[in-house]
Amino acid sequence: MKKMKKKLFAAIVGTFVLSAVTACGSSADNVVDNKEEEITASSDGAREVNIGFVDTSGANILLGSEGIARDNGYFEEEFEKIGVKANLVPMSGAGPAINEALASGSLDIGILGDVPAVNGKSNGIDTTVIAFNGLKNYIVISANPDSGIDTVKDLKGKKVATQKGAFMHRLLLYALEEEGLTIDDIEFVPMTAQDALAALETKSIDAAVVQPNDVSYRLSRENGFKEILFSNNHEGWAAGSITEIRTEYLNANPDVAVAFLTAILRANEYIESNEDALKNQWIAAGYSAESYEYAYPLHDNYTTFKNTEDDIANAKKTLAFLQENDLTDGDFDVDAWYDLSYFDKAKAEFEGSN
Amino acid sequence: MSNKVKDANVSFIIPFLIVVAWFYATTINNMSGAILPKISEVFEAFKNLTQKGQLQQDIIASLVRVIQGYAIASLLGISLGALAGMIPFIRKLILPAATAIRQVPIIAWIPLIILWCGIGELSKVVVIVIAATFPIMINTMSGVSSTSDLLLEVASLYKLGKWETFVKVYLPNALPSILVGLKLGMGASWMAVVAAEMLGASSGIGYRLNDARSMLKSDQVILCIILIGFIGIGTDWLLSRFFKKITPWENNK
Repeated sequence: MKKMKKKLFAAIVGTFVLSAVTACGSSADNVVDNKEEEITASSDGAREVNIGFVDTSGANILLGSEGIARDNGYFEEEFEKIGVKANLVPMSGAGPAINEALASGSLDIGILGDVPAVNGKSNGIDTTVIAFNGLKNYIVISANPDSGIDTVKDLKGKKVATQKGAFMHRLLLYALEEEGLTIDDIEFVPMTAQDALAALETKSIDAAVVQPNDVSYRLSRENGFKEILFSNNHEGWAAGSITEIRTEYLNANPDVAVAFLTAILRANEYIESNEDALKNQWIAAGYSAESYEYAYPLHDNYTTFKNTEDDIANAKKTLAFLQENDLTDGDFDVDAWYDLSYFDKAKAEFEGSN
Repeated sequence: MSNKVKDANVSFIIPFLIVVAWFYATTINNMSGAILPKISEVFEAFKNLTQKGQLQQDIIASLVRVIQGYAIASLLGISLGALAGMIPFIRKLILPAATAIRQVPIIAWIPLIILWCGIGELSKVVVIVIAATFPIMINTMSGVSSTSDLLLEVASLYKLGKWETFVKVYLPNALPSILVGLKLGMGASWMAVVAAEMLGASSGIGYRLNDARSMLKSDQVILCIILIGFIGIGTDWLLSRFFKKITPWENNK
């Protein structure tokens, strides 16, 4: 009797654990299937697409072409035409959080920096690039005025913060290399850009490496912090953002990629015919007009879809950077990652409709 | 089979089932490596990080922080708890504030502590002190205040001084509760150090976990979680052994 009880107990526990794992496995593995089930099961019968974008401000700020497409209702209109409900999801955890959400199937499309996008792909997240947003991301290295830092060389032995695995991290390494230094010569503190600037302001760190923005402008122009490097005058240092889509989702919903890109093309048309569109968007987000001129003197912070060869070369360089710095063990075919046929289709349809 | 051996076997049932489930999910069910890496990949990550000496450095960095914070928290928690347990006025004075403060999740303190103490070692130790002091204090107070009035009357009949009454009456009575508080405080210290290292650190298990998360190295994330669990079991076992030695009368209960 005792033995039977034991066997029964073991069978119940074993069945419970295995069924939990099976359920978990199927939810993770068959994300697209589940998504489709969710889609077909939704009350209004509409398909859905979840689009994640980087928003470290936590204030749902989406700039550039995607911001215009959202704010002017282009996404809504284009997705409505194909019966898709679009959810734009701000990701305060930036690229790494978008990678996790793409891996788990919570997001279908991700708009993120080249470094996390390449890292995600090299770690096995099956995505396809449908748009490269252009090489326009720069860094500034802002230093605490009491730190004794005047040049990049002075960073030796100092506390320098930036987001690990982001393009800022890559460009910091380039800047150090140019002066004959390595990451081991500084005290590297991994922090999000937002936290790094807050830590710099309270002088908890000596320098922060961030994308030029409203706060870095205020610190350097109004609060006496030293800007020891602005990378826009360094040939070949510019980084970019990538729009990628889960390949399984793309195969099941190719029209979603086309609708997304059509909305971006409409946004670009609006931007190109309204000189101050991007500046006004920046100001509407609560930033100053002066900081816009400082961060984007060419008023070009939008998706341009140009220079694909340069973009692919940049992605290859990014993969090499990740591998050389032991940040990824993975590898993949960068050329095969890009599929610009959806862009070509969207462009043809957009030009045809105009 | 002796009861001890049976107990040890029972303790392995859940870990064994977890390993079976993990193997099933990754090897048979082919779960994506980005979500759950294979057991062999986690072993590989362990080997790599150990060979580079990174894991040892991280464990030592976290241990040093925990020892510093836990020592201060123990001193503070036992002193305040004993005072609050013996003197009703002090209990009324500190209990409402302590109850309110200990409800605040430790993660909510971290941004403020970074602002006040910077991102150096001090901030991590302060986070541990805040997390570990309250369980130690509350358990000490509970043990001390539950001392029987009869024993206190006997102490008074023998005209024992305040210190002597504490050492000979309150302390032996409160010791089991204090030890429970110290064990809870150790657990809280580990949870706090991992949380503190996830913001503004460049070493430690929490730092390694966050770093691995940023780079989508799920094998290292799982390795860190397993390590935290093992270190927790280890410190708990050590404390239990120590407590058994200093409270032999409790072993006979």
